Amino acid sequence: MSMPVALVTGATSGIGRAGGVRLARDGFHVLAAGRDPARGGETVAQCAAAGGVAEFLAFDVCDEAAWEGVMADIAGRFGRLDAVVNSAGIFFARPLPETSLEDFRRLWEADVESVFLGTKWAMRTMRDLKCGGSIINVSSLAGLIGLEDCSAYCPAKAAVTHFSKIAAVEAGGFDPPVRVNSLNPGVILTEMITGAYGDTPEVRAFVKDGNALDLVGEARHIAAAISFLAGPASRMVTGTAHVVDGGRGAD
Amino acid sequence: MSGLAGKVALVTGAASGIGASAVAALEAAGARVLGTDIRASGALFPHDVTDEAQWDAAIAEVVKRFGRLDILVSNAGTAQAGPIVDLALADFRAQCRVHVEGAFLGIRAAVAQMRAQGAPARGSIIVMASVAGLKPIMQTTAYGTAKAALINLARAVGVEVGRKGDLIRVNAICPGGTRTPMTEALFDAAYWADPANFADLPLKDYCRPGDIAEAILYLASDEAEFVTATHLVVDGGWLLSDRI
Repeated sequence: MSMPVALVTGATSGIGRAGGVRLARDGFHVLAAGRDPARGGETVAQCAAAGGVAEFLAFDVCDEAAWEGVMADIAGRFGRLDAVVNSAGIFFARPLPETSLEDFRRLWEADVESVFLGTKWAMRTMRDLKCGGSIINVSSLAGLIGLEDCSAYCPAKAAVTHFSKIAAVEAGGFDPPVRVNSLNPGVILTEMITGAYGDTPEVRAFVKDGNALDLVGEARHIAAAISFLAGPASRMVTGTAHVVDGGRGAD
Repeated sequence: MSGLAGKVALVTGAASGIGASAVAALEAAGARVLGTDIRASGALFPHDVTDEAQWDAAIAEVVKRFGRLDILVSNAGTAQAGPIVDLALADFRAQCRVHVEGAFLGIRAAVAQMRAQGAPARGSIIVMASVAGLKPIMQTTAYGTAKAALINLARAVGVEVGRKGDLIRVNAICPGGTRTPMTEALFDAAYWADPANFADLPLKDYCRPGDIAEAILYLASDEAEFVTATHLVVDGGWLLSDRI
């Protein structure tokens, strides 16, 4: 029997990279998607070090023609697609009066349109190959609550969370069914956070102190949730928003 | 599932259904498990979860057998269905007692035991809720109300123990329709056998106890180290459907 195949976007850093490495360790043939070949190569190396099989796939997740081409290649090469993790995205923190429409649109395109396209083309491929599968859209706790200076990010992540539920209702009717869930991490110490706020003791304290648990959220925590949602253990889990936040959003 | 080998678990309502499946799954993953039930037989420890003293006895038993407690699966419960206008206060109370008071007593006892094992206290507490606690499902007035309380009990205690410095995680699981002896008492075999009864659900199927046991393994293990004060829905998409 051939290896299950997983496509992970945003796999050149942070949650996407950790998720890709984890799925490779779980036995998936991982297609680690991103734009930077050097960083992609590092992810592939980490997958190999974990005992897995992976390759880098360079494409722009906001380009529909690219998605169509990638999916045609996957269908031709593997004849199956078992999991798609839409992890690519961007973040910025800026007070609303200083946020331009251009800023807002840039984030919406990178965080929402990329997920729309990734879900649509994953659903088409899994439907046409009749292979079933699991689609995991990396949203955020910020899609469920409001955060200061995040007037672009919070609505975008709310859109991803709700879009995933709508997709789940449609994809559940495929034969075999396709599952769609959002994963809503709290504040995770990745390059996305340190890139926006810097990597200082104050930022590290912020990352931890808002949690109920006295733990820093790390990409591996989210990778473990990706592993659960990607495989057969979550066979009956669809249309949910799985919160992994150390209790940050609960009060 | 990684991180379960050698852990010690207490599972209530273990005589059948989800509880029995959880015991088997945890043992298969290498955990040492004490199953309890009000209808105890065989290896099960007799346990009425609404009785405070019996919680002390159950915790004492698991510590006596295995030396510690790492995981509590507060699963014991009973079904209820019927119009609200016909629902007796005694029956409403009975539902709230077994689900809410049972979990309250269990969580309190488990936290105390986990704290006694050293600081920071570690452990995973899982309460069995239901989609009936998240959306209003016809004729589950008492059951659904109790399950909603349970979901927020887990959330509140998860925040409380975390903020006090414990690494104890507290989460709820919300199964959708699951075929067990409890639900077979409400819906007969012909109902479960007919796919038309599930055609309105996104995954067109009901849950098996093993599906819920997988979620228990995930939340109980170190895999879910950063998951607390939340709930995990395992329902084939029922929550999203028109079904009430």
